[in-house]
Amino acid sequence: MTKKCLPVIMAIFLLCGCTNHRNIEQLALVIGVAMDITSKIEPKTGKNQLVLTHQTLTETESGNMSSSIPYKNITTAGPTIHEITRNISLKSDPIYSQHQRALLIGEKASKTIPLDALINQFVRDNEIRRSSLAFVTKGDAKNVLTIQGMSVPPVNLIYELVYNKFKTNKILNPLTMGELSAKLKTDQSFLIQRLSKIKNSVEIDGAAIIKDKKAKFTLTQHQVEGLTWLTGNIKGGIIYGKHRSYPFSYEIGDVQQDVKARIDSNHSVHFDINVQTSGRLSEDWETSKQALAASNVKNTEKKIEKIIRKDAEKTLRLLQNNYKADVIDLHDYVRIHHPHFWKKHQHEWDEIFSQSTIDYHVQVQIKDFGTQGRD
Amino acid sequence: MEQSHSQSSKLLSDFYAISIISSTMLGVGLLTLPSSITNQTNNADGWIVLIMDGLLFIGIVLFLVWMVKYFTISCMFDFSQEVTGKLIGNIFNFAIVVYFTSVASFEVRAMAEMIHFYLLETMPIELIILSFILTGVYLITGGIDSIGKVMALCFPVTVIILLILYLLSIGMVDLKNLQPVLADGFSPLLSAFTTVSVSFLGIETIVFLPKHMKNKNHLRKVSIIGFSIPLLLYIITYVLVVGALSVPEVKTTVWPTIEFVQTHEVKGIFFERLELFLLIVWLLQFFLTFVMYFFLAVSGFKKIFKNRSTTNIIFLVPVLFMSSLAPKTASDVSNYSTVLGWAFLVTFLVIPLFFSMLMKIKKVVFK
Repeated sequence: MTKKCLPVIMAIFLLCGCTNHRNIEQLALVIGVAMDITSKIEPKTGKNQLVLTHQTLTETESGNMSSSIPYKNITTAGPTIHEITRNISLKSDPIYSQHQRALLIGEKASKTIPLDALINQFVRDNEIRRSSLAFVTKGDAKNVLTIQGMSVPPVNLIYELVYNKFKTNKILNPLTMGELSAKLKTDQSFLIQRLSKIKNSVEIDGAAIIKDKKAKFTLTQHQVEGLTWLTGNIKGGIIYGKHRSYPFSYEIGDVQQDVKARIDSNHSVHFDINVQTSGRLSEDWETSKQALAASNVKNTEKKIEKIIRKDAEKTLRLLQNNYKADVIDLHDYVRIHHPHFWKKHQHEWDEIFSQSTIDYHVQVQIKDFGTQGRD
Repeated sequence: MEQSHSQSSKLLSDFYAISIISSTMLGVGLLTLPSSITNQTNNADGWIVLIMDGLLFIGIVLFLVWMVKYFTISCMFDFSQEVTGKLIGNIFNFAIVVYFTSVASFEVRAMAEMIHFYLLETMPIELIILSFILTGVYLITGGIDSIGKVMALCFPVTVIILLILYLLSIGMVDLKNLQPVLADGFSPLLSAFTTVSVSFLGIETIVFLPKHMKNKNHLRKVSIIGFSIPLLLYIITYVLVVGALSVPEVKTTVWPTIEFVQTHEVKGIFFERLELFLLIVWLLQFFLTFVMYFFLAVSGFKKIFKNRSTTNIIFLVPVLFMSSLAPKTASDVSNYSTVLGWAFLVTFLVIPLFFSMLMKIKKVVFK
């Protein structure tokens, strides 16, 4: 008897699975968040007031067959992140962050408040995914999300832009929330991609250097280009220049980087960065026959090497002398190959980096000329 | 014994026995082990600790198997009565049952915490716990062969799904996070030794299993395979999780393995959210670990009080329910696991060793 009753009793418990359901129409599906601060000081926390802008997807009206994705921005001010997200429930459906794709941190916020404090709630939260991407913006982050006249939500565009890394080396590797949180746990400096609002759209615009957990400096698009030649983290892009008054473009194909680290003294490390790249001469304004002659190609290769070295060393000088921030991850080589030195000096690494000697060598090989070849 | 020849079909084949050992070992450990080890070592050398500790445990397992054969032990509960007599033996048995009950309630609680955090936020935790205990009751009434069947069914699925998830997420791993190897020498590894041992909780089932096995002579093979599969999964998990999340990040996460799977996103496919699959299969593993300990506690009581299983089950349900709710906060739960780690070493190592020494002395004296 008991054995027969048991499944029935059990079924009552097991069939209660729907107790936690939430209707999808009643959720504000957050796809991106912009984080800003105002100059107003919150009395209870003694810190600047925070302003969050949540970009949420809304229902399509029935019958509306247009291709644009409807979205809504909800801007809320408050003292702490979680308080703000809860206050949203006062004026709209409660937000649902499982599908959050990007976090944008405004310029002012990233310069004033340590980033690990800013993203703390996001990292602790069980809903927000570690795979959502992090950015800083030029000006207020809110302005980027509230750009008018775009057919797709700005967050979706940003999310797609990051994957254009194969086309240009002005884009860094996407930085996920998880990686950001991991990097903030160490004392090392690093980069976050920067976005800026252009007329009616958004653009990837260089990067911000995070030093001591705050966005201290910015790198322009061109400086980021030079920086990628230091890290060797390039998936595609163009080098342009001119040989004998004829402009040309070199399409970057494969890039290999190799770093040797040698401890010089207690306060300086010697680095040898070797970069090898091969690619395609994809555009050449010199159309005469001799343009593709071997000696000519050799000259062009030397020319490209010179351009790359100039760009890279310019960025390197900036990082070493002006910013004193090792954002090209040279510390990884010290950590791995000289663990004892690293253990002693990891907290003052940026200082040592600025005093280190770094030799940069680059080798370019033009592999082909597109569909046009030598006769 | 109640398992006569007419019931021999109810005994476990080798594959079932392997599934039982592995499934019992795979519980909360795999989800939390990267952070608990890394917190002790402070570097990425945890996988070396796992290998060393694993080899040591294989040695211990071999010794226990030898002991089981030498004294023809069919179950630790019987053996303790045989060695020290009914009364003292039962006191030992009772202590072991208390340990089993605590592990069972710990597994339920840890699982409920996970469900509460990732899946059912508004569901009261008591309800989650109760529904799991009752489902466990249903399985246990079927006896060890039902448990064995369920484990043999779920265990391969778990391993396959876990490996597929790992394979998909392997791109997130940066070997730089695992280097340098052994930069701090061996001393930090020693501090992690006991922490690692907790992950092997579950292997003590081998001294209670022979009674239920069809081929008792295969115990050595079964235990080694049953132990090695979880050990390998642990090592793979550690390497992948620390390689992807980096040491400073792993140290601060509560469920590093889930976070690791979450970091990866399959773009454009219907199931973007891979951690869901991990949560599903791991729910099963939590459940099976719980069921095995529950079953062992029930059979221990049966031995002590010589009563029916049903009575013991009815008695244990409220006990499990209360003790799983005993830790108030999440940090209490992790302290609970530390205590269990020591209790595990006692039941797995100290008690069998102590008994076998007594038995040896007895044999010599009363020859």
